[in-house]
Amino acid sequence: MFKYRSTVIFILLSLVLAVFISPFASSSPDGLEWVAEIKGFLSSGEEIIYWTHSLMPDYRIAFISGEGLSTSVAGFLGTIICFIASLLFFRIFLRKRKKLQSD
Amino acid sequence: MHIPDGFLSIPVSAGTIGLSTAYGVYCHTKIKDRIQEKNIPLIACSTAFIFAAQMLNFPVLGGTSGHFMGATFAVLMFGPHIAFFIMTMVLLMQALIFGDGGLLAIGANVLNMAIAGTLVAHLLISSGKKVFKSENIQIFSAAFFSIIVASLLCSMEVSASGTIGFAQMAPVMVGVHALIGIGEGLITATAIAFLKKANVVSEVRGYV
Repeated sequence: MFKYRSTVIFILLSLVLAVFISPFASSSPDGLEWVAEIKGFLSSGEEIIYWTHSLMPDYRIAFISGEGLSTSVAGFLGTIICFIASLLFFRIFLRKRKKLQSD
Repeated sequence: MHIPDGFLSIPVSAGTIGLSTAYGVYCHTKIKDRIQEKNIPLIACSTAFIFAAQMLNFPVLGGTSGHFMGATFAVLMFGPHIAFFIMTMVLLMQALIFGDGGLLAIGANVLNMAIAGTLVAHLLISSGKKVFKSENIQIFSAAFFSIIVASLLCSMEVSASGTIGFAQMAPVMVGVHALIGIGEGLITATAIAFLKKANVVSEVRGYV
């Protein structure tokens, strides 16, 4: 078995979920949104938004008109971004340690 | 249960950011000498998997949906401290790139899902071995209660912000998340079973 067998299986599973299953996800409000709606404070969530630079708000890509396709592409990109960000972040721990060992 | 900025007051946002940062520093000291290079690709895969699975809202009751959280999954794979960073990474990406969860609300969202979620899972998994004979039931209960506690904390933060009274919010919030928690339990147990069958889990020294 080659070295990265598990990594490939695991990332493929994630991509299948994000690309092929996500267009079929329920678009109903989630638990918290639903509570906010029935208890009448949903609007306060829309009043204050500090961060307005999201590239893919609502897991959609603005210029792709097909709803399902838009979600699929956003899911694909998000999964890859999370993978790479996490890979880079956890490498920091190793780099520090190697530096200490070589000192 | 990603909280948007408008549901929280500045003091609650600031307080939870402080708490979450302090816990992050603690987790950093816990794992900085222990993290193994060979595990990093699988840690990154788990981050990607949790992000992807969180996109899959399933319907609960009429007109409501819920989705996977993944704190228990991450704890089972890598223990609570690495799980904290995995969950926090997912929450940061969701807030910054997808507008899911507020920017200042990140502290509360981390506290609920990356800290409370993982701690409850860790507690129930490490003590559950004596209580439950079946590993699947143990995983299910850890996942279920991680959602319950996170939704309870979420109610506390929103009501402490003066958005709504605790007594008004908590029963419905925890009630609907009891249903979502069942989904969490089933998905977590299924995902772990799948990765075990594919021999992915055997490569990491987690809890399963």
